[in-house]
Amino acid sequence: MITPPQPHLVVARLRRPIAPARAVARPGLIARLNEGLAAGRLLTLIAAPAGYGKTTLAVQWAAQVNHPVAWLSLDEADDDPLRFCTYFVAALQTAAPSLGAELTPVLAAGQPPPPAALAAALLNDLAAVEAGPILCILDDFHVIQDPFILALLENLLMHQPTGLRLALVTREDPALPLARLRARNQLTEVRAADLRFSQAEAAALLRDGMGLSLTDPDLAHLAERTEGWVAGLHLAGLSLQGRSDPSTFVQTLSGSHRFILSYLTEEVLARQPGDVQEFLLQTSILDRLTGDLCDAVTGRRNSAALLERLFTANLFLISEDDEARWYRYHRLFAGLLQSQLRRRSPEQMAELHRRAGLWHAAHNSPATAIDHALAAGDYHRVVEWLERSAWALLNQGYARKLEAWWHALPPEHRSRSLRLTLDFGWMRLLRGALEQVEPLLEQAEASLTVGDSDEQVAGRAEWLALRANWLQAGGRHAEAIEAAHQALEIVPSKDLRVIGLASLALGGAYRQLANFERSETALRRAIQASRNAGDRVTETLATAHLALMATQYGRLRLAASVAAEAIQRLTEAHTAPPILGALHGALGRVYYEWNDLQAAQDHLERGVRLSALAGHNASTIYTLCALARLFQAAGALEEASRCLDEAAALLAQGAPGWVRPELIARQVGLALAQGDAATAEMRLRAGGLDPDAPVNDHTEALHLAWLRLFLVRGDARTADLAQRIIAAAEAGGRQAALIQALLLAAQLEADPPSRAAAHLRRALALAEPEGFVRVFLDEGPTLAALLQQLGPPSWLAHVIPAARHPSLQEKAMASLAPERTEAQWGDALFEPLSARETEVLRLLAEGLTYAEIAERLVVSLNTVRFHVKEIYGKLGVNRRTQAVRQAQELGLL
Amino acid sequence: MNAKTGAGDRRVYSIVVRGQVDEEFVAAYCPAATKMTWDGDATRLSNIHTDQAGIVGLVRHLHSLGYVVLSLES
Repeated sequence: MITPPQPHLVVARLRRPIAPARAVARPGLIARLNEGLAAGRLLTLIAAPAGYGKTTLAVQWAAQVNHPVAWLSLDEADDDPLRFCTYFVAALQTAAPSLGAELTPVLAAGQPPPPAALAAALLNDLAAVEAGPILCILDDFHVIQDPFILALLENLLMHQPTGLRLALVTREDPALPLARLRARNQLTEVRAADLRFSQAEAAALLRDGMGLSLTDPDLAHLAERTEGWVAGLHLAGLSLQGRSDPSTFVQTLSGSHRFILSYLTEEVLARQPGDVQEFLLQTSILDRLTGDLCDAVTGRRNSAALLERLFTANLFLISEDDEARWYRYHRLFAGLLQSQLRRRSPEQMAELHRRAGLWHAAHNSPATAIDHALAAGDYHRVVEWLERSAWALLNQGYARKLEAWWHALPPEHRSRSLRLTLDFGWMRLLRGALEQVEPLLEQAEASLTVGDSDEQVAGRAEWLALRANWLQAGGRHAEAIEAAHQALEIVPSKDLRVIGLASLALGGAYRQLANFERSETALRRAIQASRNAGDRVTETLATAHLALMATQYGRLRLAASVAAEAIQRLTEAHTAPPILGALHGALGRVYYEWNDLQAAQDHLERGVRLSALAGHNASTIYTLCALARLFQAAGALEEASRCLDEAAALLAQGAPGWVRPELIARQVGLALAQGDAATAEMRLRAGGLDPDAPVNDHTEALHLAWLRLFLVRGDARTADLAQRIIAAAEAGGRQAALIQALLLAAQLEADPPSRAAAHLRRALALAEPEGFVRVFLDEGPTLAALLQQLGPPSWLAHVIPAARHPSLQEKAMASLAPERTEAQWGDALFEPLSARETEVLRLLAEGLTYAEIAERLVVSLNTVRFHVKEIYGKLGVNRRTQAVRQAQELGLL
Repeated sequence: MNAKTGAGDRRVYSIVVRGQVDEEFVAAYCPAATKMTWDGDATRLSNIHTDQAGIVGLVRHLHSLGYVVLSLES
C-alpha cells in the first residue's frame, strides 16, 4: 500500500470552453434559460443529439448570467462515483471556494461517501454560499449512467437546494425524475426543436459569420435540408467557401444527417492543403490537442501555429482555455476523421497511438498514456506504466478504469507481472472486495518462483503479507497470524513496506483475539516500518487499530497520543480516510473521560460527521453513543435522546452487531437518568442478554447496564453481578469497565463504609495513571459523598465540585425518594451564570425556540445549544421548565 | 428527407418491455400523458410524446433497470 499522491485534476475541464468566434447570438433561447433561473427552477436541461449547438448555447448563457457559474466538461472516465464527485466538488469550488472543506479530504482519501450523506454535506455547504445560487453546468452529461451519481443528483434536487441551480447539457435525457420536476414546474428545457437554426439564424451564420453570398432561396434550401442542424450548416458553409456556384452545390445536398455529415466532411477535407488533411487525420486519435503533443504524434514542428489557424478558420476545433493551448475536436468530427484515417491508412493508427502514449507518459498523464498504449496493442508499456502509476491512478478516482485496463490486458501479460498482480490484490483488499482478492492470490502464487535471490524472496514475502491481510479481513485470525509470521521470517530487512503490511495483519488479528500486548507490539512495528517506507495508508490503518484498541482497554494516554498524532498527520496531508471519523471518536471518548467536555464534544461531533460521510455506520453509531453520554452528563437529555434515536435508526439500516450492546447500554443509562426504570428494563430485555449469563468482553456493556438497573431496583442479584463483572474485566485487562463496576459496587456496599472504601481505593488506583475522572463524576452525589468521606486524592478533589449534575443513579434515587430535590443538590454547587447565559435563560423563559433565540442573539443554533447545556448544568436541571423554576427560586429572573 | 423524420422532432412512441413497470416509474420518468398497460407478461408504455434525446434516454434507463425491451415503435 504505497502512499498515493494528492489527486490531480485536469483544470481545463473546470473552465468554460470559449464560444466560437463567430457564434450566432440566440437571444430567444438565452431569454428562456434566464426566465427559468429567475423563476427559481432547479434544473435546466439542454438535450439534443450531437451537433445542435448545445455547448455553444450553454457557454453563451453562462457568460451573461448574474450567478456564480461552475462548469464541468465530463468525459467517459467520469462515470465513476469517486471521480465524478471529486470533479463536481472541484467545479463548485470554482464558484464558492469555501465549499466542501470537509468533503475534499474525504474524497482525496479515495472513497466516495454514500449519496445521501454526500448530498447532505453539499446541501449544508451550499446553504452557506452567500453569493447567491451557483449555476452548475455539467456538459456532455450523457456519459453519466452510474446509479450512484444519478442518485446523488436526484437527492440534491429533491431537497430543493437554495444555493444550487443545475444545468445538464446532454445528448439524451438523463435517468432523473424529469416528469416529476416538469409537473412541479422545476424544469426548464431546451431541446432539439428549439435549437434548430431558423433561416434568419442560418443567414447570420453563413452570410455574416462566414462571408458567404447566398441568396434567400439558397438559405431556405440549406436550412430545410439540414433541418436547421448547425453542424450541417457549418460544414456546408465551409464547403461553400470559395465556390463560384453555391446554388448548384446547395441543391446537391440531401440525405440523413449522418450522410450529409460524412459527405460534407470529405468535401471540407478535400479542400484543405495536403499537409493540413494529414494533420487533421493523424491527430483525430487524440482526445485533447496541444501543439507539443501534436508535434510528437505527427512529427511536425509547427503544430501550435497550425492549431491556432484551424481554430480561427472554424475548422472542427473547440478551444478549451483562454490561452489557446488546449483544443479538442468536435466529437462528431473526431469520429468521422478517425474513420477516414482507418480507411486511408490503417497501418498508421497503432504507431500514432504509440507516439501519443509516450508523450503522455512523459507528461505525467499516465491514464491517457495507458489508453493509447492499449489502442496501440503495446501491452509491455501498459504493464510498465500500470506498475509505475496504478496507486496514483487509484487515488485520482480511476478505480473502475484500472479494473477495465486489467481486463483489457491479454492474460499472458497480466500474469507476467507479479508486481502488478500483487498491486491489484492490495487495491481490491483496500476496497473491501475480498472475494476478488483470492483469484489474484492464486495467480500470484503460480508466478512465484523458487529461489533465494532477493527479488524472489521479497516476492514470496509480499505474497504472504497480502494473504495474511486477506485472511484477517475475512475473520480467519489464526491463519492470518501464521501467514504474517511466515512473511516476517523471510522478508528482507530492507523491505520496510512489506514488514509494515505483515505486521498490520498480525496486529489486527491479535486485536480480534483480544490479545492486547501482542497486538500492540505488532501494530507499533507496523507503524514504524510503514512510516519509514512512506506507506501512509498502512501507517494510518495500524495507528487507528492501536488507538481504538487502547480506548477499549482504557489505555487513555496511549489512545490519545496515537489518535491525536494520526489526526494531525492526516490533516496535514489533506486526506480524510474513512477511519478518520473513528479516530476523532476515540479521541473524543478520551477527552470525555478526562472531563474536558468541550474538546470531547468537538471531536465526537466531528467524528460523527466524518463517519457518516465515510458511510461507516458502525463508527457513526458508536460515536453517537459517546456523544449521547456527554449530553446526558451535561443535563441536555433531549440532545442525548436525539443522538440515540439517530443511532438506532442507523442500526436498523444495517451495522455490525458489536455496536448494539453499546447503544442499548446508553439507552438504558438515559432512561434511568429520566427516572424511567421500566423503559430501561424493557430495553435490556429486548437486548436479549440474560443478566445471569457469564460475563465476557462482548457482554460487558450490557451486564453493566443490568447492574445499574439492579442497583436502582434493589435486586437480590446485584452484589453477585457486580463481582462477576469485576472478575471478568480484571481478567481481560479492560480498565474502564473495571472501574465502573467497582464504583457501582462501592455504592451498593456503602454500609459498612470500609467495604465501599476498599472498592473506591482500588478504582482510584486504577484511574489515576490514565487520568479517568468523568467516570467518578457521572456516578453522582452518592459516590461524591463517599469520596468526600474517604478524602479524595488531590487529582480528583479539584474537579469533584464540578460534579453538579445529578447522575442517573441520583435521578433514579430521587424518583424513589422525592424529598431529595435537585435544587438542594444544585444549591450546594451553584456556579454563577455568565451574562450571555442569563440572557439565553431569559429568552428560554419567554418560551422562544432555540432557533428563535439564535436569531435574536445573532448566533448559531449550536451556540445556543451550548449555552443551554451550560445553563442546565449550572442549575442542575435537564428541562426548560425546571430551569425556569429553578432560576426564579434563585432570583435570577 | 423532410422535417417529419428529423432528429429534433417530437413523436409519439410506444415501448414494450418484459416484466412489470410500476406507476411510480411512469410518474417520475415518463412524459406526461404516457399510458401504461400490463398483460401479465409485458408492460406497454404508449402515448409517449418526446423527441430523440428523450426516447433514447428512456430506453437506456429501462435497460439499466434490467428491463428487456421487446419493441419500440412510433
